[in-house]
Amino acid sequence: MEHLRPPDGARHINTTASRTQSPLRRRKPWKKLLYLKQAYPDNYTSETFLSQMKRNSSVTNYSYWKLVQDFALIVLHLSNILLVVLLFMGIYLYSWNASVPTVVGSCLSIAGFIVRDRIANVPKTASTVARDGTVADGKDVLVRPPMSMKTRQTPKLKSFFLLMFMLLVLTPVLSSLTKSTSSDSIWALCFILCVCNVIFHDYGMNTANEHYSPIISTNISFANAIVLASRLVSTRPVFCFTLLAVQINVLLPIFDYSLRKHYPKRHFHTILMITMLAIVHVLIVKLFTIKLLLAWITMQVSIAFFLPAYFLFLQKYKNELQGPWDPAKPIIRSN
Amino acid sequence: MNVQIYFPSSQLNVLKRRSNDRFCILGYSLKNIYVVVSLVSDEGMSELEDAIKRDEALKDIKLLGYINGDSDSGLSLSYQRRWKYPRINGKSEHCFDFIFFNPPNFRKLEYFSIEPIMLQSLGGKEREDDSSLLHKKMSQLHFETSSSENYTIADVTVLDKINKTLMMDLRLKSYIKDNNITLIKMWVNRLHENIMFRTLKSYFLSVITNIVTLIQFTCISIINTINYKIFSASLVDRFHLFRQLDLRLKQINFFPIQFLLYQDENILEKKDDIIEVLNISALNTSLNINNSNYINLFNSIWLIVNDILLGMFVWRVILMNYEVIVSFINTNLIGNLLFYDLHDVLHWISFKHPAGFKLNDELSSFIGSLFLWALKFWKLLIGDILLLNDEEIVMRPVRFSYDFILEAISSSGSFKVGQRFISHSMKIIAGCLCHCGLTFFLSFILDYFHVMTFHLNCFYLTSSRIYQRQIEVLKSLFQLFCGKKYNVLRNRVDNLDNYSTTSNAFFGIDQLLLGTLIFVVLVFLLPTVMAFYLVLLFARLSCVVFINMLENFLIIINFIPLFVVLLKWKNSNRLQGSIHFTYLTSHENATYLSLANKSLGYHDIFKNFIRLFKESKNFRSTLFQCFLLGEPISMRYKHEVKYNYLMLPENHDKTIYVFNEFMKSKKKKTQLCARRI
Repeated sequence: MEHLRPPDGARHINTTASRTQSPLRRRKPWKKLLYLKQAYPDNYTSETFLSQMKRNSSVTNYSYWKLVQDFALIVLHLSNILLVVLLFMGIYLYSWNASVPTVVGSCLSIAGFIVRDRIANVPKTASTVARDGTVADGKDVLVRPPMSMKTRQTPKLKSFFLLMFMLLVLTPVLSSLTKSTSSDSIWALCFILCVCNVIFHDYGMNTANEHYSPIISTNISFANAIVLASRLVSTRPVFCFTLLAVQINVLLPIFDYSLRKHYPKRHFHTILMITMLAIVHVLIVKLFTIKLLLAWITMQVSIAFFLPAYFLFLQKYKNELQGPWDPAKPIIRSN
Repeated sequence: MNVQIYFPSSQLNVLKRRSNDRFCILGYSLKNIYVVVSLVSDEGMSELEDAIKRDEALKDIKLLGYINGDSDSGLSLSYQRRWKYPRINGKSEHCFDFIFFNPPNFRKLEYFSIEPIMLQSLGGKEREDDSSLLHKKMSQLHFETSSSENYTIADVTVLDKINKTLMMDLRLKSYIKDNNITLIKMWVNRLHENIMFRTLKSYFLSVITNIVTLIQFTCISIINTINYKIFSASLVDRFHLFRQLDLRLKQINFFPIQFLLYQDENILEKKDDIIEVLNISALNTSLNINNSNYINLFNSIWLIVNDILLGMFVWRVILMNYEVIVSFINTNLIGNLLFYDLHDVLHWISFKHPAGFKLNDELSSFIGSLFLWALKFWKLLIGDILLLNDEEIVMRPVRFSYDFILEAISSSGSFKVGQRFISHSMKIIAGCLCHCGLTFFLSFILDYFHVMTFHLNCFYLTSSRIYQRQIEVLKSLFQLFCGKKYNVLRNRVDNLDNYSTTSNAFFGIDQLLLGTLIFVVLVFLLPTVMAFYLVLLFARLSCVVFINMLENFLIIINFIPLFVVLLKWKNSNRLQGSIHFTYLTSHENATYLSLANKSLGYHDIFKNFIRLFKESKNFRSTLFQCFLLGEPISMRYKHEVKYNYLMLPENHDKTIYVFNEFMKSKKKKTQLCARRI
């Protein structure tokens, strides 16, 4: 192939010749198109090259209090996890009666179910009816939404009972699952699972999504509950504790999410959060000393108030470049 | 032009003895090639001229030229005592190649062949290795030159003439002198003409034909019987003993054809017919057919005789140490290894935290007691029957009091009688089989071993199946744990929280929690199941290794190319690998080469034999994968490889037909000869 290409010298002479020949007749302006054969060397860089560069195009400016609200969700999740662990410690170490918190939790979660349905259905049906009314006046369209609601509601109760019975059936298995394993390894496993849970949790800061299903963290927290429950001796506490853990770790975040979604001013969410924090604080004082409580509160405050400030401080240094060298993003025309 | 003169070295000796005489060169001339058959003095030539015209076989032989004499056309050579080789007289524009060769004795199955003889094949298409690929490329390159007008040694006609030199030389000599050869020939001819002898011979032939046909018929009927499929599996598929019998009978059934193939020269004409009728997987070309069948036939016969002798020897040894062997099998194998040791190991795993691993006590004791119960059941029902000796053997007392039903069965009188009967008949059968050959005895041992380790196999299959299911469930539940789901329609794993917003595509919370619950439980139970799986896998693996070892023995005794190796030691010219030329010297425009046979190397002899070990049975190729996924490990047999190795025909029931056809044609030929006389 070497002989096909003219030697570099000849090419150079050629270009200089063309340049000297007609200084008036300018070369065609350089275009950023690879498939064109242009009279420019391969490594030619146009002066207009950097004009398309953008800086920090995707950076949004946050307000401090919005950030505090979002970081408070981390605190909520942490206290959520801690609550389960604390309850387990109470049941395991001080042999509390596990049925009492379970019954309370069950009542609360049933109430929560009803409330959530109310919240979720009322504005939604109104909006759908309104939208359908604008689209068509046919009766079928009006009838359909409540039907689908109903079909979506019924399996929930069924699945709740199914889960309860499966738990009841499997409690003997669970209580003997890790009998021969030493407690220390279970504590270590529990710690690892909690850390994974915090890392992988979907905090749901953006409430615009229709569905909220933090799958991995749900699974991890339930696995954690099972692992912890398998340390308990008799079957009744095992069942009660697992049920309680499901209510606290799985149902509560979903309830909280729907509260935040449908009440953007977040009064109820704040009330719920304060209650949770209070319960955790009381349990910490009851199980441990007041020093630990202080440490815990310091940690909460630092997460909720100092971390947002640090985040804003770091954002000053953000320097994101976006130039013509990046792969092009197709713009899909909507509508 | 390049002229090649093929010159037998024996004629060179004639030349040396009478160096200054004038000789006529008799031989074949094919365009640029001269094949010298014989050197005849002038007196002999006058006697021969008549004979060459008369004899059909000598028709092509011509007078090529003279040595130490002038001639107008043809070759003109000269030779003196101090020269090592003959020289070309005068100047010529041609180049001459003198190629000396020892004339091969065709009666001893010596001949030159370009194509290496194929003694065994593994059936189907041979795998293309580098050399064959290279060969293919080279043949493409030299396509034009190979179609040139000159002959080379690669042409069949040339090679045929070279191979015939000795025969023709003797024939010529027989016309020159009335020596002993002709006398014997005359006597033989006279004998052939004798009517008594002819009738005797034809009678003898027909008797032999009938006997052979009878043997073939019995062989074929036995083969068909043991290959008859009952419930989609025949005896041959089930038992190694019948597999061995099948192989042996097929060998014996093919012997007459093999004998004819090497003994009868006319068979070459009907080669394609034979291949079609019998469906032989691979066959040699031209003269190699005779030789390969000769070698294979005697290799097989030798191995069969060896096999029988070995079997008888082994039976003597067994009889001498009968008590020791029986007590070893009873106490060590059936008693300890297959029962008490297995019992101890299973007990250790199920109840005693094996090697410090904390297994789930409940599950391990459950599975363990199932296995132990099955083991006890096996011991009482089968293990005791398998005991060889009819004498009382001191076993440990059966400790498990709750199996009174089984104890009742074992203590009944009929059981003892049955056991004694079985052990007696086993001894008789083993003795008979040993006299049929060691391979039969070994395959009998294989079958016996399969029966003995039946419970082990069952245990292994059970545990591997449990393990396999658990692994499968864990795999799919782990995907659920990560929020993924296998999409059947698109045959891929979908992430569920980023592509769809319809509620059906999400897991319900109940589904998630139930899946997680089962996942966690199964993860914690996996080590327990795995412990049983590993131990039983190890037991099964050792069984499989033992079976593999016996199979290897069987292959060695059945297929080792012993006769071929001996033939190589004795007369390596009879294993035609190919030919090779050696440069001797050159003088003016003549080059002197020597042609010799390149005998088959040890690599070529043993190549297929070693491949037989790998290809006829295999359990190693997928071992690791099987181990991880819990698929059962078993020997995978490819029996047709063995038949291909021996080059046995696929249509074994057509051998009678082929044999009879040949005998008929032979008879016709003898009758024709008789009529002509």
